[in-house]
Amino acid sequence: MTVPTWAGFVTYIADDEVATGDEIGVYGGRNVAAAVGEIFASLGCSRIGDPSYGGEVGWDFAFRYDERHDFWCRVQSFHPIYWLLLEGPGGHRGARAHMELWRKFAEALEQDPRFDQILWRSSKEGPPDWDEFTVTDDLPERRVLAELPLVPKKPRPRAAGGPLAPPIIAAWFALAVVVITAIQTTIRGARQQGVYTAFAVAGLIVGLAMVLRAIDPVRKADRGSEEGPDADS
Amino acid sequence: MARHMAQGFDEPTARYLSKRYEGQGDHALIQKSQKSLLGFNMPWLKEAPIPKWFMDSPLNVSRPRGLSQGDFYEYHYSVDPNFYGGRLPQHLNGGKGWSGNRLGLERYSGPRRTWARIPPVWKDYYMGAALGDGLNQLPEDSSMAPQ
Repeated sequence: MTVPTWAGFVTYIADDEVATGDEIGVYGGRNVAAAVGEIFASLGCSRIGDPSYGGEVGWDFAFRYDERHDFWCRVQSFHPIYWLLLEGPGGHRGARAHMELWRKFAEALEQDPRFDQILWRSSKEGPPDWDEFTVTDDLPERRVLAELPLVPKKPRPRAAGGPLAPPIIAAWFALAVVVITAIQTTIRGARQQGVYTAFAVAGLIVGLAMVLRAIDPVRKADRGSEEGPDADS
Repeated sequence: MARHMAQGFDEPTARYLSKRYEGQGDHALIQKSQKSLLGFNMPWLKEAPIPKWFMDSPLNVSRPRGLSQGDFYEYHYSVDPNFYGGRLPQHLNGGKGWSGNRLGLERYSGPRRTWARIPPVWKDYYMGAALGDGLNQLPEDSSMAPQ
């Protein structure tokens, strides 16, 4: 028997989608993924990760069953309908563990009053269509934001060397050409030339990195002294 | 937008699907489940400690340039066997999401899927390298050119 990997169900666990009328900022499903993770924990699974955000495909987490078998689960929200994908390990033993865990999980899901209309499908069939579910009309009012909250952007790390980096790298290329030309003209034998060239290039790369890194403290010190008096204002 | 309307979407939904895609993209090279590499199952991959920065970087994520929301869903459906659809804002498409099955879209297979799924950054690199090799094959002056 093939283990069904897709499930669809209805749950009225609070919808955690962040959206305006015309845009989805954060797709929902984290709450449901966390609830599903709790069920796996109650079945003896370990190393259950926090739900990780995957954009429009929802929230996923990895865990272990029987301390040996790695599983991965993803929950995608179409609140109050949800799709669940459960992927297990390959191989003969893995398939047996997958079947065993699926049986336990399917039963636990049926027993849990938060989950309703659970339909399982094979990986070939894919998740059930939304029309296969009956959804109540009296859903709680959705929270729709006027605009999406601003997400602070991570500052881009400054490249080592700052504005001096391009001329330094250009000088490095010129130096590399000179060194390699010198090796080609002074060293005899292709093998010897290759060895010397490899050492020279490695040395030049390390040297370039050290020069760029060495410039940074000087640059930061200069910037600090320039910004110093205004830093608190 | 006309293309999405021809697919049967109403105007507001077609307008939403025509907006530029700004999502996370498709974890194409190594999927988030760490089950396969470019669609080929690799059991050992699950154990591999792959850093999150790599998983979410353009080296691993495919997000072809210039695609609209609807284009990206179609692309994602064609290359990812585990992508069946996505949610749309609540008031669009009668509260239903976007479904590749409902649109009767085709899924790629074999080399076509592998090629389509390779993140653009890798294609750029190899195209550049191949172009460089190609230029190297050109004759240096007209006397060397085949007559």
